[in-house]
Amino acid sequence: AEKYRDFKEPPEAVADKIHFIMNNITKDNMEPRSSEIRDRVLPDYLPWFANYMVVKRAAQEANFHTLYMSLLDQLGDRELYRLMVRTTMYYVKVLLYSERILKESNDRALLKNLGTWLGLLTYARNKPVLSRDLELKQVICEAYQRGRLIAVLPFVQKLLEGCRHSRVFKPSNPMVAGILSLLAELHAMKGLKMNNAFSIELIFKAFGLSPHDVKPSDSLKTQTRERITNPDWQLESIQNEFQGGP
Amino acid sequence: IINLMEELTLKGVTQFYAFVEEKQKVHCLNTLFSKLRINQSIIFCNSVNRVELLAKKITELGYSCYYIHAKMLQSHRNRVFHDFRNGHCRNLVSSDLFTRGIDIQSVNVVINFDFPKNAETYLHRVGRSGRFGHLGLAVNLITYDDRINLFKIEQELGTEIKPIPAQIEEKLYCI
Repeated sequence: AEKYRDFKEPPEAVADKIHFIMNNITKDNMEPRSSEIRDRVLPDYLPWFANYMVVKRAAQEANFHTLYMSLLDQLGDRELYRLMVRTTMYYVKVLLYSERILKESNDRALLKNLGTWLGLLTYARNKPVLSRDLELKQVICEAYQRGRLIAVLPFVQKLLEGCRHSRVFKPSNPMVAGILSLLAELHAMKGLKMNNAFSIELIFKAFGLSPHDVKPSDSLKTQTRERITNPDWQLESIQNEFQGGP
Repeated sequence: IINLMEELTLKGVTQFYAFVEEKQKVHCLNTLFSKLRINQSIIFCNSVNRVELLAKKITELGYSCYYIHAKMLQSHRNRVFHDFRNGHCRNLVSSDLFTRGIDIQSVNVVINFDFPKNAETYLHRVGRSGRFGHLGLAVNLITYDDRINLFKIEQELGTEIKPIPAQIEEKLYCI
């Protein structure tokens, strides 16, 4: 993905030291390491550090997300938290709208990882993803129209899994309820490919539900979707529709 | 003897060597840890004794590392390996105790602190089983005495180990 650069780069020695620390940080040495980080990045290189954490670490090292979350807590810097969310959001959008994502499974893996990461930053902490930053229902609708569900649904799945431990983001929450009913509609549509249906089922499962427990919306059926080479749907369902109606 | 080598592959693994003197090795390791993005790494030495010495040395330098070698009790080895796999520590200093390659997804860097003497050992350390096509980086610290083995192993495995560049492109070993 392209770079997001409106920050000051630290001198090489500082960057090297941070790389070294981040290659060696664990739960057991979190406290001393985090103060070493704080001493080096505050306040000038905070945006650089946030960018490094999102691009080089969170996007690629899903196995250490919990560790990096506790690092963020340990650093306890509100500005850093704000920057992390903003930076993550930026790259999520770049990937959501990139052309490569349909071809490159690596890019999809990055987007999925950033989904988990964003979910941990927001929903898991009982904080919303603001619709002015990322309007999830709209993201799903656009993906439906443009044949990009194969990349977008796994991202939405990982993101919403952040709600699992939330007190606020339960199925009764209006934001969650809206998304679930949209997904229920999508799930009920004929010819949706197995992997897409499966992603949706996993989302419901994260809330302890199944797609049949929720009343489907009727927002998708009025929308048109890409007909030619749409990877989200089984081939025969596309052909049947071409052969003209019931 | 069963030949297990055929099941291991160097596909997806980018291999480099750094020409060093014995006493520069730890310094070289420091440089690698300051320049690379390492999820988890395995650092190989050629003897049990050197495993323990290196692990002690680099722990003092602030590395997060465990060590594992052939002379440890099986139960201890299991414990260390299990904890490493679960990410309790980031780096593992190891001797050649594995009969098959190590396939831990999160290990994206393997460092041969001591270069192995034969191709089979090299492949077991660096190779991955072909089913998991994830990317990896192998860095070999080569001393003057290792130069002949380096050539021999390259020939036998039909692979190319290039000198390490100043900058390693991340896409070679990261997703």
